[in-house]
Formats: sequence, structure tokens, C-alpha cells
Amino acid sequence: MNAATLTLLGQLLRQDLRERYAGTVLGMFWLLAQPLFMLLVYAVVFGEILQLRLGTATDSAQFTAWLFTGLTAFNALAEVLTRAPVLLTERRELLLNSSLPPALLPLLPVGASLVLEGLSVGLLLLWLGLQGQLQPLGVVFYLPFLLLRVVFSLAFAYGLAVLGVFLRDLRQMMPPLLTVLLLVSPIVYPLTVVPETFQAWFEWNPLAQLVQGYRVALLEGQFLWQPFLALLLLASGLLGAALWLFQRLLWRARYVL
Amino acid sequence: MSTAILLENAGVAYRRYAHPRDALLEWVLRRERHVLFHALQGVSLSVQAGDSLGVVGDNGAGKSTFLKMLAGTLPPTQGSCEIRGRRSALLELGTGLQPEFSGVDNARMGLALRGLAHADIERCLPEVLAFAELGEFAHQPVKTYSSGMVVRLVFAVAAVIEPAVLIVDEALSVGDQYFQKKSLDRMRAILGNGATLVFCSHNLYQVREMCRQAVWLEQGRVRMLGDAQAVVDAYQDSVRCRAASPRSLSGVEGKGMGGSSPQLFDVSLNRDLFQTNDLFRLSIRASQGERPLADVHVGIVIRRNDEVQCYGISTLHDGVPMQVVDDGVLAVTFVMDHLPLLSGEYCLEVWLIDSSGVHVYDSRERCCAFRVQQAGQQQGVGMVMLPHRWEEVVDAVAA
Repeated sequence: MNAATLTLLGQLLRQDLRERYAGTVLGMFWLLAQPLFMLLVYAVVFGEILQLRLGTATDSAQFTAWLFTGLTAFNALAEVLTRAPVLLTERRELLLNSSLPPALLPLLPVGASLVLEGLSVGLLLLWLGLQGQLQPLGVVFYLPFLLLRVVFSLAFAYGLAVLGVFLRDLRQMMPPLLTVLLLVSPIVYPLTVVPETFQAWFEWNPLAQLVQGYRVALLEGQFLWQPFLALLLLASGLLGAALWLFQRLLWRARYVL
Repeated sequence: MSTAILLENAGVAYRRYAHPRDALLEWVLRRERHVLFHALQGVSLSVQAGDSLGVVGDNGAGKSTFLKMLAGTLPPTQGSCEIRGRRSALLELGTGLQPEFSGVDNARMGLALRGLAHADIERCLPEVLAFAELGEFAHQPVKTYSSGMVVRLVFAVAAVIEPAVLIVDEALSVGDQYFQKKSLDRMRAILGNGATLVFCSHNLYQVREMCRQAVWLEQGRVRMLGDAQAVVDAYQDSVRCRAASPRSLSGVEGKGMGGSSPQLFDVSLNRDLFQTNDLFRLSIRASQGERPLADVHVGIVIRRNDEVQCYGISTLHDGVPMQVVDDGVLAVTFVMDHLPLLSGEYCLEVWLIDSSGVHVYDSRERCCAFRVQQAGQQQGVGMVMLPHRWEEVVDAVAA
């Protein structure tokens, strides 16, 4: 990737982020305002009013952090999954009338998800710091799981972007699919509340393992080796397949854009 | 001189699918589900660096496909297409413009899309803004721009980076006269610096002015390639020929498409070479369609080849009704007993309008080209002979 391509990618990413908030009063501050709002609402509603203690945590601040960590990982993935199927069709004109390399486009939602997640994790660390719960090694152990999340995101972005051109229904399928994904993964509830008979099924859920990795790293300052290696294998495999699919199908996609 | 553009038997075929998913099923099932459409076939030509190529042809003749292939946004499906040096294309107007963002932001994006790195973009930006003459609008969202401002911005981005090959599609027609001149001057300057120009326009006059060579595309194939003047003339002849030959009358009279609206089907001039003061007779025939006789009028405009409008008049303004010559066929003949035009090349515009003079049923533009020659300077200089006399001076002293 040369300097010009990098500049183009930077421009596209900047445009992509600014596009959502163009014309709003808060502008780019919304990027920060959304996770901040989410964190405060969880703290008040779940922690103070409902007094939920579903996690392993014992007080409300810990529960808030536990919930927020899980949702941070999930929201970053959801960002990519909802946008990927419309990526190429939304920029149809640009793809057909300029020399924009199509392979750059799937990087956009992944880049946006990184910005969103970065801000969320920053807030979380701040929150943990205020509570005196900050784990010194937490960030170090978190980064490998972030890498996993990015590799998964890239795989879905490339795969869904090209498939979305042929299967226009994909964009409609994503929101309900994400709701199902959220409910079948221990994100808003801990694995321990799942009945014994179903637990084996839940353990096979890669998203559950990923979220678990995030939580153990950021909240407990430990690193889960086994899930990391297993997920790395899975994510690389998926990414390889997605890139192959993207390459094979792209020229066909031009005809039906 | 080196070759800048080299096409060898190049062609582009589109696959047409009934539904987007068919393209995927075709790949999975390995069974053909498409219909091939050849937008362009067997184009072989070469353009030297510093040369200019005009592209003419009817709508749907493959001009856009040809330009997209040259611009590199559409790879040829057969043959080869080789371009040497950085190319910059001005294809569809407004492509990639983000209406919510300012002109400056969009200019940055446009330059990045043309392969400029960050430092080069910042270096070129002031020049782009100066050329586009957006003034204080440069920092306003593009959605507030007039179409003229959009074309100025887009052209500035395409032209400022000094490409080795500049490809310009029908885009300049949107700008005002001043900007059209400015952009044509810019294209000439780029050409003068040794770059190559590919220029497509329906304004054949501009093609003739800008380009040394031209290619005439018809139904995806090269109909003619060569000297711009010759190609444009041949194309114009063919357009004229079609304009003069009656369109299938049965189709016009039938209840099918266009059956209800009046259409021109014959516009013919008594000759195409006149002497000043000759008889000028223009016969026009049109179908009446389903309109009352009083609601169908003909307007004509005489234009010189430098676009100067010499004279225009209509049966509506002269209060002359059209005549019924056949069932549903109207005719009118415009006569000047002594053509006052002086030497030059002219053409006609013929408009079929309604009684309000606003709605146009049908028109022929740049048809019936004709040339006028004058006997000599004694008939005067300029465009037309004006009625005049020299008055005797009363207190003249006899010589």
C-alpha cells in the first residue's frame, strides 16, 4: 500500500466518520457521547435502581463495568455487521466512475469500529480508575483480543460486502440476526445463569469466548490463552475465506451493482 | 513522439442478469444465467502523446463505455487497453461528491481519488479553489451549490493535477459561457504542455476546435477514425441524413409510443450552397398527432457555426397556421426570396412547439447545414446585408 492509497484511505475514513454527524450540533463529539451515555444509563438503571448483580461482580460499579465491557465488544462487531452488506452498493457511483480500489471499502466500517471501541475502552478505563479497580496489565492483555475482534470484523466486512451486492436481503437480515446473537451469547447475562444442559452449547459460541476474553483481560487483568489461540485459528480461517470470496466475486459484482 | 494510448481490438461486454442473485448462482452452479451485451467491440487505435482525440456518436453508441475504459474504471473484456502516464478523468458529473461536505473537503477527496498523496493534495488545493472560483462558497456544503459551481469544482479537480492523459466527458455543457471558455483554454494549455486529451461532446463545434483526431462510434464499433474535421463532418452528414429522411410514418400515426404528440419528420432545404441574395426555401413536414391544428407551430433559428444566433421566427409569432397536406400531416414552407446572409457556414434549429410557445413537441438541432458565399466585398462584411441607402448631402459643393 503506497502513500497515495493511504491518503485515500484516510480521507475515506474521515469522511465516513464525519458523514454520520454532518450538520449536528455536537458533531464528532457524538462518537464519545454515545458510549458515555450508555455507561451512565447502565450505572444508574441496572446498578442503582434495579440493583442487578448478575455478574461475578459484587457492587453496582463493578456490574456496570462488566456489562459495559461486553457491550463494547458486541457493538464494535455490530457496527461492522450492519454496514458491510450495503458498503459496495452505497458507493456504487464511485466504484463505477472512479479508480477507487474496491478492496479499500471494507476497511471503512472496521476503522470506524476501532474508533468507537477505542473511545469506549478509554471511558471504561477511566471508570475503572475512578473506582480504583484499574488492572495494570489489563490493557496489555486486552490488545490481543482486540486484534481477534478486528480479524473477525475484517472477515465479515469483506465477505458480507461482496455477498451483499448479490443478496440484497442481507441488509434486512442483519438487525434481527444481531438481536439473536446478543441473546444467545452471555453478554448481558453471565454464563453461570444458563442451565447446565445448555452450557455446552454456549461454550461453543465464539462470541461468548471473545467477550469472556475481553472481560477477563480488562476487569481481572488476566489472559486466557486457550480461547485466544482457538479464536485466532478460527478468525484467520474466516478472513482467508472471506478475502478469497471477495476476490473471486468482485468482478461479477460490478455487473449487478 | 511516444504513444500515450494504445487500444488493440479492445472491447467491453456487460453481463446482464435478471436479478443480482443470478450472478452469484451462476458462480455456484457453474451454469450460465446471463445475456451478454457488447457495449464496445473491436476498437483499435493509438494516440500519440500530446495529441487529442475527439469522440462523437449517438447516445448509446458506446461513448461512455469507451471513456470509462480509457479512464481505467472499466477493464476491457477483450483485447487490450494501454495508457501511459497518470490519467485524470472527468466522467459523470458529481460522482463521489458528498453533498453535506464543503467544496474544500470534496476537492481533497477528489484529489485523493486521483492518486495524490497528502502533501500533493495540500499543494494543489489552493490552485483548485482558485480555478473553481467558488469564493466564500468554498467552505459551504456542496448541496448549496448551483450546477455551474459543481461543474467548476469537478473540472478544477480533474484538470489541476496536470495529468498525462485527460479524459473529459460531456460535462462542460453545464457551465456558463465564461467557464466553458475557461475550461477549454485550460484543456488547450494541458495539451500544450504535452499531455494527451480525450474529449467527448455533443457540441461538435467544440470537438472540431479542440481535437486533431476523432473517432465516431456507432453501436459499439468504430464507424470512422481519422482527422477530426473529416470525422465530425461525416457524422454530421449522417445525423442530417437521418433528420431529413422521413421517420417511419406508420409508427408515428399508430397508437404506439409518441402517437399522440406531434413529431417532425421532414426538414429540407432547397440547397446547401447559397449565394447571398439567392432564394432560400425551407420545407417542413410534421405529424399532427392528437393535437388541434391551432396548437402546432414551427419555429426556426438560423445559427452561424460560431453559435451566433442570426435570426429566429415562428409561425406562432407570424400568426401563420400550418397547412394540412394529408391525413394527420402538416406542412409549412419558409421562404426568403433574397437570402441576406453573408458568407459563412450556418445551420438550422427547427422546433415544433405548442400555441403557448413554451412546450416543445419535437426539435432538430444543428440540422440542414448550409454554406453561403457572397459575390464580393461590394455586398458588405459581417453576417447579414442590412437594408440601407446613402443619403445625398444637401449642401455639397459640386466637384
